[in-house]
Amino acid sequence: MINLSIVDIKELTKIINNKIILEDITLRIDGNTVILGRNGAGKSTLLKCIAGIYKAESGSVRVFDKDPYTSKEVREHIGYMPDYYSLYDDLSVTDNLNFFRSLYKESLEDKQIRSIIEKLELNKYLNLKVGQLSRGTKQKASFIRAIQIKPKLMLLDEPTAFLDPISANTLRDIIDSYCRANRSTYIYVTQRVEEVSLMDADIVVIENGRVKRRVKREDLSRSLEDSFDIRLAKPISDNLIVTLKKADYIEHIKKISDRVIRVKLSSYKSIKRLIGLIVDNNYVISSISSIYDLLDDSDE
Amino acid sequence: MNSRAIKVFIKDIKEVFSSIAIWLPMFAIPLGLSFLLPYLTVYIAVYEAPSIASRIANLVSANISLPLEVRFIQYFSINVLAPVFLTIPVFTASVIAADSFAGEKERKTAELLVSTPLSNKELILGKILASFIPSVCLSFLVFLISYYVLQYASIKSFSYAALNPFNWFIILLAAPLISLLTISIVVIVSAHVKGVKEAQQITSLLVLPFISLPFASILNIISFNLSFFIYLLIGLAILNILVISFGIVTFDKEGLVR
Repeated sequence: MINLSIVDIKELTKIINNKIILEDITLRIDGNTVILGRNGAGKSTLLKCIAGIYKAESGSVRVFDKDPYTSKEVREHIGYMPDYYSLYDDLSVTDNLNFFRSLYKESLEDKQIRSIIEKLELNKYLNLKVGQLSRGTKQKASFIRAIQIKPKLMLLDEPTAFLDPISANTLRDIIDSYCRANRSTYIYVTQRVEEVSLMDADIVVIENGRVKRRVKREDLSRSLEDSFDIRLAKPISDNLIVTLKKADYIEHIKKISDRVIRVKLSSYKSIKRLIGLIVDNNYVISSISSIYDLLDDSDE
Repeated sequence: MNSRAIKVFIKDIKEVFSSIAIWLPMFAIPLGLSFLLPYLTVYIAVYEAPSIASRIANLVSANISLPLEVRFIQYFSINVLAPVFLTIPVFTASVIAADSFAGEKERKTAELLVSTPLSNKELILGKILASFIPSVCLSFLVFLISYYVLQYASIKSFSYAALNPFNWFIILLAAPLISLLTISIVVIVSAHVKGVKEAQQITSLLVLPFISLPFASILNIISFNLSFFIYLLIGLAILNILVISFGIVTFDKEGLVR
């Protein structure tokens, strides 16, 4: 029996304006995946190829065993959220959502969409024109636009770039619970390494248009079971240390310097809760050591 | 008609009508002219007709049982006013057509649009409809208003309804086909240029031939009679099919995003 991948990319090369953006990419995606890379690495271009927006100059891109560029049947099942909000400024949020929803055969039920709207606190903006909204609110609306069509595959290009940490957490939770409930898959593009630890997904690191490395979630988790260092954007107060010590999932915590703490968790799965706790205490995480190693210069 | 194309059409129309600054001049100018030009025609007939009529050969051979002024109104309406009223709505709708794809590019909304299950055909038809429907509605309104204004002014001045309704409204049959041809070309151009300004500049060149219609009529190069219209309608229908098919075949959705 042939085991079909959700996304199957073979020797994909993409040239835009005579510049090679993606080169010889071969990649199979069978489950939730975070695509990580620096600015200009080719992450968004890769996502556009999977979304059927760009066609492959050479090589092939198959989604559910069909070419997404030519097959509108495949695009029926792809919920794409670009890095730019891409909604119509002169239309209200509701009009935007209704328009895009009307182009697809399937969609979530009204009450499910309302629930997501409420979780993201978008209710009061529904009748406003998109052009009147802040960047963060536009991004939330853009996310709802993508998820409302009940996609089997969600393609999310830096979906939390303009969100506050709490909203970003809520959005990631919605993605996670939606994919679990609907047996859907997401591909999540980010340049923020700390986001990797927050997603229960495999990791693909892209650099200079090539796949630099692939890390299975389990392998990353194992590395996180050891102690790791968290660097915060501002000096760490004693109150934060006391708060963290109270958390039952932290086995050991030590303040290494003014802005760095070394933490050992009872289970790597608690990393999300730990980050949530730090963020809730109004701290911004600059880096998490063992995850940041993903983007170091050494090849696998 | 494809339902997804209609969804695109409705979305575009909502966008146009979301701003009074866009739709007011687009509608106000043709509607204003549909009042003004018929009055001017009757004014010319009353005060200038004899001197102008003597210089227009067609008028001399027209039905001489009618007063010269009425014959002038008949001639001027069919050969000058009607072609003008055919082209004005096309001009205004071209503003929407030029913005169709170029505007989506500029506002960075094209990316999302081409990621949907819309086919190239649905997308192009939706965009054409968004300009075509307002253009045709406007043509009908302009012809209707100008007809009544002209008849009213004519009866008031000469106690005679100058216009034959059949001659006037048969010209209107050409309006949808002229609109469709111009708009289709502009929409296709809009898909292949970088921005709205570029699309508008090329559009202004494309609609130039239509401006020549009234002049060609005055200079007797073409004559707005029934046989001319039948040939015109057939020619336009064939051209429309060719242009729209060409647009669908050559549509490059990646080009909208790149």
